[in-house]
Amino acid sequence: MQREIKFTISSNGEVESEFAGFHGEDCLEEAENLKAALRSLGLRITGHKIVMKSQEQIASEIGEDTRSERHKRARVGHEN
Amino acid sequence: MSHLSKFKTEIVLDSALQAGRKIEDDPGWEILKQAVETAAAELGFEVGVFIKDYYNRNLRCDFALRGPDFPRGVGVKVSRATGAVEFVYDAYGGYERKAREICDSIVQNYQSIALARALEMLNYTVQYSEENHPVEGRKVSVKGVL
Repeated sequence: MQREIKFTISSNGEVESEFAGFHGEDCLEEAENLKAALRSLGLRITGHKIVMKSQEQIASEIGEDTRSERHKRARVGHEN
Repeated sequence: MSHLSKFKTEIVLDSALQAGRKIEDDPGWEILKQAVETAAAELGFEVGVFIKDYYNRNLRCDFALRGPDFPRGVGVKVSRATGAVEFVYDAYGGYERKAREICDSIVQNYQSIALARALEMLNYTVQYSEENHPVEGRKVSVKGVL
């Protein structure tokens, strides 16, 4: 799967980022690489808040069912 | 694992200073120039090196944007000691909002250019788009794909 990093830059100076397609903690390592590259270009990051994606979010990005989603679907099917 | 994050930024051109070179040689200097020129083009302003205060006195800056909506203008000064970037203007008489809008536009342009270049430094292919939100203003999207 390809790696994607998307930044949305608001007019109030706030930046939102989304890392997708990374394995394990590779995304955090890549975030550090980006931080260093930005630093060399004169942009310092402040007030950084990170939220790790849930297994469900990751599974939906790569088109795989998680165990809990399969379980939910099986239960719905059983109830019907 | 992948993640989401939110952050703010500060512009500090200190790479060249730390290497003992002059501030104009900093990679951020050219980005700042481009950010100012882009903001000026969007706002219909001229780029120079002087702004004026309420008393019509000139103040020299590294970059200055002046235009019909704010004839005194907004200046950008870069500290030769620390590389810190600051905005200077005299907003007396109801120009605060316009001055803020100009500063925000320069910062947003700088962030967009720097983020795109940083992604390219890490070998990502960069896509760029923007939209104007009716309430929140311009939103710029910079996406890197590897």
